[in-house]
Amino acid sequence: MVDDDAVFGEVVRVDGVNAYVVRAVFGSSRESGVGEFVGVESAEGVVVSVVTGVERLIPEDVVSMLSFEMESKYLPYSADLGTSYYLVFGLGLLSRECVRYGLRVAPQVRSRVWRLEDDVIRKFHLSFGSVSISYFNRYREALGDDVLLAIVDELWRVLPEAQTMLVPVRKYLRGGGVL
Amino acid sequence: MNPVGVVLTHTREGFSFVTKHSFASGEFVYYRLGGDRVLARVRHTEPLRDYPVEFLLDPEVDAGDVAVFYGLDASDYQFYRVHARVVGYFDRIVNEFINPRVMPLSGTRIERVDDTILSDVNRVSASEVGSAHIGTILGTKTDAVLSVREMVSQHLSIIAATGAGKSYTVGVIVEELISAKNMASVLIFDPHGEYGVLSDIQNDHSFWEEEYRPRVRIVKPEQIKIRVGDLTPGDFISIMDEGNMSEKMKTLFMRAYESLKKDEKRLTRSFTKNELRETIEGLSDGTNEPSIAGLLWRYDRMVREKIFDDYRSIPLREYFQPGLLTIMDVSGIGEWKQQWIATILLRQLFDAREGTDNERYSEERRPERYLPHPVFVILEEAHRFAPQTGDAKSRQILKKILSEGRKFGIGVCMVSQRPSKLDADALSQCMTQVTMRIINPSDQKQIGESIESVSRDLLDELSALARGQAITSGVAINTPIIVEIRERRTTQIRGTSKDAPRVWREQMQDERSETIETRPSYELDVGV
Repeated sequence: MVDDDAVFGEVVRVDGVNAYVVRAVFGSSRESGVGEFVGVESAEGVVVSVVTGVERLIPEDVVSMLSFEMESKYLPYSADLGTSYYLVFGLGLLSRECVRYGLRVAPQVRSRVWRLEDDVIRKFHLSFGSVSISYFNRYREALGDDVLLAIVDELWRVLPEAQTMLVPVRKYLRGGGVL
Repeated sequence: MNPVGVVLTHTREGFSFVTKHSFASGEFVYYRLGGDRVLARVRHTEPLRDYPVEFLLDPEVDAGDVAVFYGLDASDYQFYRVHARVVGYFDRIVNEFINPRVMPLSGTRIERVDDTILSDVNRVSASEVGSAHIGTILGTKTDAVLSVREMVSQHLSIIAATGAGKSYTVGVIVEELISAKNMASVLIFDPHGEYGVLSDIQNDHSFWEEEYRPRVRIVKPEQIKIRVGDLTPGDFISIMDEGNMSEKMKTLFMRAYESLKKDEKRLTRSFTKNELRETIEGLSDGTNEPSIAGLLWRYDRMVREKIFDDYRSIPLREYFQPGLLTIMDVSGIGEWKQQWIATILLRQLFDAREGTDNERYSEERRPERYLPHPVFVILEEAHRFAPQTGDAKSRQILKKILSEGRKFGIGVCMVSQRPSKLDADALSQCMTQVTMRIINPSDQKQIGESIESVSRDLLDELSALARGQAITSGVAINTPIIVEIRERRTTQIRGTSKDAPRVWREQMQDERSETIETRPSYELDVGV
């Protein structure tokens, strides 16, 4: 489904059907930003997800306590100190048969995660006959307006035909979006 | 059961329900309470939910499309929150609506009224004797029917701004009154001469039934006379006095009048103009010549008016007969004379009906005053005859009839486009009200103060009523309703606005064609 070069990390923790922690591949050349679409490998297809945050756990207090000798002993682990951990939120499922917004099954730990191509992102948003971002309303509380605005920025580029409708959505989110 | 909505909540004033159906203000719905079906009137509606304002800023982008795009259910925005006021359930024993004084709880189902429930707003059915089918209840096909018995005995007001369909509605009511199911005795006091078209009634077969043929009598201005003997001394003085009549002249006139009245009993007829003049002259005693001369000058000026006659007066028995519509065309007669005609007419009418009921008049005794049946008088431009401010001779007798006429079978219909100029007491005596579009706030205020039976929220509709729609309320109907006035059976009344641009163009074109025909050809060659 995806070649190994495109993989940018793997799921190391699953906090729920939608929320996962992804450890980025060590030495990855490009940082991922909030709002970027990623795919998570699953048995049913690709879990179309979005990056919602990043954590870099550099326990400096611990490092300083290690002696030089001990540092080399812990070298395999200390390599992990510079690793990025991305918070990823699963939006829906994309398979050969269908697109489904919302998830009922979480991906497995160690599932591969990769950046989605634009055409895959388009497919995910165009599968209902017209452009749809209906997961916005469904996951608005879980994602927060800042993440949704970041997704809007992403879609602005990927779905130019939806720009006329993204304008009011963006205004709505910026204004606090009170219904 | 076919519910159209569900109650959301209620307050002291009424309840609100959620529905996908649109309702106009004044429409009816009902809910069930035990075995009763409780009727409620829609006051106003509002959207249950609004789109986010940001979705509405670009008119090129459909807000519903954006909502669906964003993941909102566009159908959630199709619901109304309808505010309604309870009218009550119809109690067939007391024959009126009883307010249950219990509001429906949240979740109560609301249903659209059907013909069987709505017909309870009428006191009578459209086909029965004593009914006036004036149209349909707004938004339905249910007949709106007034009880003629209540309407003509307790007076009627028809109030509408110009162009709202006032004369048309009068026509509809007259058609009903004069039809075979009522065979009424009706007189229209017509200051604009616009009701003449109602003469079609007598030739319209749809009004005929078995032996019954309604008749229409049009009284032309030149046929209308006031007999001088029917005027009171106060009438004479108020006609003659233009503010400069001395007390001495007034006293002399009173003496002459009273002396003639004594003779009148002996003569068994009314005095004539000359007899009164001679009596005034006869009061001359060598000391009062200037006063006599001044009085005679004023008297002569008054009786020179062709309307005053020695013998002819308003022939009540000719004007008022069952199945007869009399149209008194007073157009072209000055306003003060119209007031005098109305005064004399109403005064004599009251006297005739009161005297007949109290057996002072009969076929044998004063047969010209004997009027053995109820009558109905329609007063167009009623504000001229009972004005709120200013003087009008007719106001006193009109108010007397409005307050006491019921006992003697005299019904009055006051028609006006300026209720704020109409005497508030007089208006409040009209216990059935047909109120059409009124835009002027002072007129709306006057209606609100004079018509108690119409709730505030219905009156708020006054400026929004379309032409031919009327709020109908009062004793002739069980609850106030908005009526779509039915189509007239007779020709349209001549009160409609002129199509001025069309007339101008036609006239101009006529003149132009005439000009072209008469001008020599060399003048037309302008050599451009």
